[in-house]
Amino acid sequence: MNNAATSWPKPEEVGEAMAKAVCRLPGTANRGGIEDVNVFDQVREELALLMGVSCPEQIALGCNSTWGLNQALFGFPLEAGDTVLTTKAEHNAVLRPLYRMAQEGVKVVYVRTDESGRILPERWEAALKEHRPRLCVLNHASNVTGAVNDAETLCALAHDHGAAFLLDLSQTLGYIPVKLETWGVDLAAFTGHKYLLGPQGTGGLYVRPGLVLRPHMVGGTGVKSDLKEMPEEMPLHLEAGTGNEPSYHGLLAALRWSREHPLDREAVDGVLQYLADGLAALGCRVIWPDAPRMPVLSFTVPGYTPEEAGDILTGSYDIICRTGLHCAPDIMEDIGMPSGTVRLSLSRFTTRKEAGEALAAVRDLTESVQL
Amino acid sequence: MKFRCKKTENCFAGAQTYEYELPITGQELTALLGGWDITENHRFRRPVFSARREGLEIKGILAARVVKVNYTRENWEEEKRGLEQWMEEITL
Repeated sequence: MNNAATSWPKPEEVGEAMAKAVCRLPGTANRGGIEDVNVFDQVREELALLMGVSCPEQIALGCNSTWGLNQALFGFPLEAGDTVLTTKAEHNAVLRPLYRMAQEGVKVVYVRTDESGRILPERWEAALKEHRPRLCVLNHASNVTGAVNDAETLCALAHDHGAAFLLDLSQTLGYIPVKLETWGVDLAAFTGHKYLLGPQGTGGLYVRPGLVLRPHMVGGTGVKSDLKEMPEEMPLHLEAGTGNEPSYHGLLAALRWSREHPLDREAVDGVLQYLADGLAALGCRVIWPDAPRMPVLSFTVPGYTPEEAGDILTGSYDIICRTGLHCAPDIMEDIGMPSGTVRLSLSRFTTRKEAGEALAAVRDLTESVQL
Repeated sequence: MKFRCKKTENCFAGAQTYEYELPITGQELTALLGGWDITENHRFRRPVFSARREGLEIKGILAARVVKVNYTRENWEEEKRGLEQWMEEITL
């Protein structure tokens, strides 16, 4: 139950595709002819469908969301004195680049979340009015509480106030419908190994046509080697070095599998609701955001630190969970859990029976404290 | 007693938590920890123990051979040296 970190299990086609990819001749690093299979382009086509974008070539592929976020944040044309607006719900993949940018003179403003980890449009708009940022960065959903933000509204507000909008889709892509072009999103980072059900080592960045980033990483592209700069056209502009071909074969298999097996989000939310109700009935403090939400539950167990509870759930019951700050330290104050939480994160494969086993284990914990 | 040790990280940069793989179980280890405040909990599917002394904590599954040690932030190096020396001197 740690799918917000990395999904497991994956469709078996994912591993099969990766094993085949390792065993056969590698691809041709952007030099393939019309008959050659370019797995990266095929992944782009699938992702474009999923993201609601019409230009697959605007999706640069790298090794994870962090790669994409670094490309976006360090590549966006910001200068000392410019302001970036972001939120207390962000992951360290956003925060740590911003801390570095702040050292270089960029002003960073953080909008507080509500007690469920969600960004309220009125707070967002007030901060936009007050600080006039050039760039806004928003986590589509909190990896701590699962609260999904209204990206369309928050993006429109950013544009109304003259700011570009970077959306972190790490948690949501593959679970929450995304329409980047309709929403007008300028930049969106994503990962392949969470709700896309692909392997680790995949992820990237969508860049709106017309927006040009300065590549954060430069190097070989397999073509146009006579240029001293990265080629201007996307996606080559941001894709230096050899790509992770076997993992992208795995991601392609996952994307195709998901297209053929549509997610039943209502069913997953039903299991989540059952788990949340059960934990609350046991006296746990549960963060329960209004819908839309990811299948993520953050809670604390009375009488235990999050680490103690997590150690017992894992060691005594084989329930894999995550404890602590979840790489999003700033949200803890806003949700009133300064010492962190225990987080259970479900997938489309999590059954009600498994949720029941988790509840039984937590019941043992709570009853043990009362003894 | 021979053992393997590995630092385990958590969300807090100052945490000094180490795992030890021992040739004995947690249950057998607790029998050797004279003077420690030891609690056992047999309600859990795999029963657990915790041994505490002066801020130092050893915990784990009673039937398992891997235990976790939380040293104090202030004095962890000395505590680690002392515990490891004590373990090395144990003759099985």
